[in-house]
Amino acid sequence: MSVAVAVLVLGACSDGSSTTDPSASPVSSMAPVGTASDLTPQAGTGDEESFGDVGTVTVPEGTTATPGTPTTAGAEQIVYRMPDGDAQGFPALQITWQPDAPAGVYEQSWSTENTKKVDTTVSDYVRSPVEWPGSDASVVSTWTEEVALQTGDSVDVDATALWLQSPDGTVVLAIAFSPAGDADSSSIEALRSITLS
Amino acid sequence: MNQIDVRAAVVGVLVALGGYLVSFVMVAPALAGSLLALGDVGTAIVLTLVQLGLLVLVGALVASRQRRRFGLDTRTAAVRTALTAGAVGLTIVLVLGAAAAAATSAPGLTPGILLTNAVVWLGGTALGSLLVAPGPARGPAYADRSTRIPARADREAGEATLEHLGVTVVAVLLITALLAVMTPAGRWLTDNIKAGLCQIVTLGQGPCEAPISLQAASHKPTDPCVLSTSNDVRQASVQVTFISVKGGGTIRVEELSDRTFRVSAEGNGGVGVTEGLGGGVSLTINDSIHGGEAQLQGAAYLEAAGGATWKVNAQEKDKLVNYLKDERNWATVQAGLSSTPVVGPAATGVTWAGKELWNWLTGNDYTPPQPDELYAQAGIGADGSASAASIAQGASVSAAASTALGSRVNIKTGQTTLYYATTVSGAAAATQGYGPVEGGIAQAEGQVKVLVAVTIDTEGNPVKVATQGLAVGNAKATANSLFLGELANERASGGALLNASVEITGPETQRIALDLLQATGITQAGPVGQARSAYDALSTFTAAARDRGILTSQAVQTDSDTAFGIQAGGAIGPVALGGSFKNSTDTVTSGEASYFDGTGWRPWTDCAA
Repeated sequence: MSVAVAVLVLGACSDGSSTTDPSASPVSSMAPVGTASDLTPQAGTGDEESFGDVGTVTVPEGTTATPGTPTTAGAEQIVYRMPDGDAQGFPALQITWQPDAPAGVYEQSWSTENTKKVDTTVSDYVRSPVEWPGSDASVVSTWTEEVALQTGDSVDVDATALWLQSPDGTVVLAIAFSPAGDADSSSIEALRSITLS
Repeated sequence: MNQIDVRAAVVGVLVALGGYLVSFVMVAPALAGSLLALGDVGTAIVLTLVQLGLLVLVGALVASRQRRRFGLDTRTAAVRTALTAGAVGLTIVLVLGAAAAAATSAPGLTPGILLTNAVVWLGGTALGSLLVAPGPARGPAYADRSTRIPARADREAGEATLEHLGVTVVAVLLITALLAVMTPAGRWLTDNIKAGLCQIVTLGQGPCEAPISLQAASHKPTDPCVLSTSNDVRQASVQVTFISVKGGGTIRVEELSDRTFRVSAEGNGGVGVTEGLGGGVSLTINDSIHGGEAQLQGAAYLEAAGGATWKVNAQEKDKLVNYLKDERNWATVQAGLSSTPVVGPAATGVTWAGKELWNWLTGNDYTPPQPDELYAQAGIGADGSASAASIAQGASVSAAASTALGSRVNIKTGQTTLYYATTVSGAAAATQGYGPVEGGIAQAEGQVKVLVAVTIDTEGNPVKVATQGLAVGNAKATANSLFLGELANERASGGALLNASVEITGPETQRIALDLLQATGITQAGPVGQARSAYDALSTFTAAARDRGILTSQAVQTDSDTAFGIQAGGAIGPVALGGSFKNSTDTVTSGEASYFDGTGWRPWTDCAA
């Protein structure tokens, strides 16, 4: 009897952090490796907006929000154009979320990185691990994209993508687009304000 | 001379061993596929005849050599030498076989094996020696030996001796084996040998492939096709080594036409691929449970998010599948326990230890190998809208767009295959010469969803492009026109799964492939010139596949009457999806397959159960 009680007590006191504890989380084969991203959460200034029931983002006053048109089944999207936008509409923040996503953040970002290898308009693609409050798995991807214009010219746009995964299985992809070289753009500031519900 | 000619015996042993190794270690495995098709009896007959023939030749070679050196009084004079060669060769082969069996823990030498080999080796060599007629020694060099029969005055010039014949036969066998396994021409040679063997054993009545030309052989698919697929699905949140399955897990087993298997462990819903901790089994429990056990049969696939694939033989397949199922099922049990407060965690720990103890006591310490491939859906990251170009104001509009489905990485080669779905619409160009067709269809108009798979090397350079379309329902005419260059497919009136692939080997194939990728929006068109229409680019691509690549057609039966997109699942032809990506839930069963040999269609006999 005392042994049984001891077992129950030990079990109840288990915090699951031991590597021999079946509930410990192993490393994903598709998780990014290398130096962690220096992107950190930070409270934004301006208006707090909700995207679905998934999370919130703080955008500067005067930001316009329009629904996007994702082709992935079940996904929703909002495009926030910052008030200091240029002729091409950058900086801008695009948030896409997919409830009950069939593939997690690591898998989707891994496969997306592979896909970018044949995209000749994308350069300097880097995928890095990151920690984000409330997210089960988080990844940061950065790249530079050459956008062809109707005038025949082209512009370079820097992209910073934050992948988040909520405990209910929703995958969120927030991409901050900004003119090349603008590391402190308003879209990145808004990106850092994203919080999961 | 009736004594044993040691030198002749040594030559006989060497020729016998060389021929045996070439025949049964190199050639036979290369022809294993056709041997299996002959059936057990046919296979046994062929292999026995080959071995017996070889040893008869050795016996004749030994006797001939002895006659040339010392002369033979009677036909039986060389039997002892031949039997010596046979006995020594038999001993060496059996010792080697026993050693190999011991090294691999396979069953060892049995009395039956010993007796069979003794009869063949000794009987064959003795029989061969009896075929050599008596005769004097040759050449004046042997005339001074008192034990020799004096040489005849006239020489035997211009005749091929059995000794030379034996060496020549072994050399031909060796060269043939090397060609069969190492050179592209070997495929032509192997295929024609298979066809010949099949004709002989089945007396011309069997399903034998007709002999093919060297050119035709280059069009024959080299990758095996999927013969059957079975899925074992459990709707529960579990995590096993390599796979973290939050929404459920599928263990998929695909039997390929080369008798190997592809085992995939994949997840549905929030999947993750994980590595085992400490190099061993790693069990982690997700607290969510989604429904109960479900069994899914047939060709319908769940939307799989990603997973890992192992390529194994039959023996390894059973171990791996049992391991994956066991791990998944055990984790399901523990998932149930973990949802129970207080008692749950305690029970989890206790049952885990019990399982490890059981494994130890029963010797179940199987550790799966590293997977050969990893694959995953691209999801919203590769969505066409997730790019600066899609939201930039004033951006030039792309004429066509493809949807990135996902990617698969071959861990060993480092090559990555990217999968896209694109819809191709349009009509056959007037220059292709389509005229009115009975039934009212003047041209192939319409649209068809096409799968495009681009394989890139570690440097990011495309090395192969493959396309797949399903010619059924309303898409049949367009798909046939695009892939086959004709409106009707005589080989599959009900419908067909069509695959066309081209390896990028030079500037022209690179241009054709790049045109297709640009026309379908997979890559961007260059600043000069405009991308061709996807219809024309795909037509050019499939024409190149017919000319220098691989084009296959597999009859399919489907209960869907509408244009169907992508058949997920294993490789039916060169394009391998591995059951990873979403498709219709319609049931599709496959039938006879054929490939285009450059001038016409041939049955793809290797793609047969």
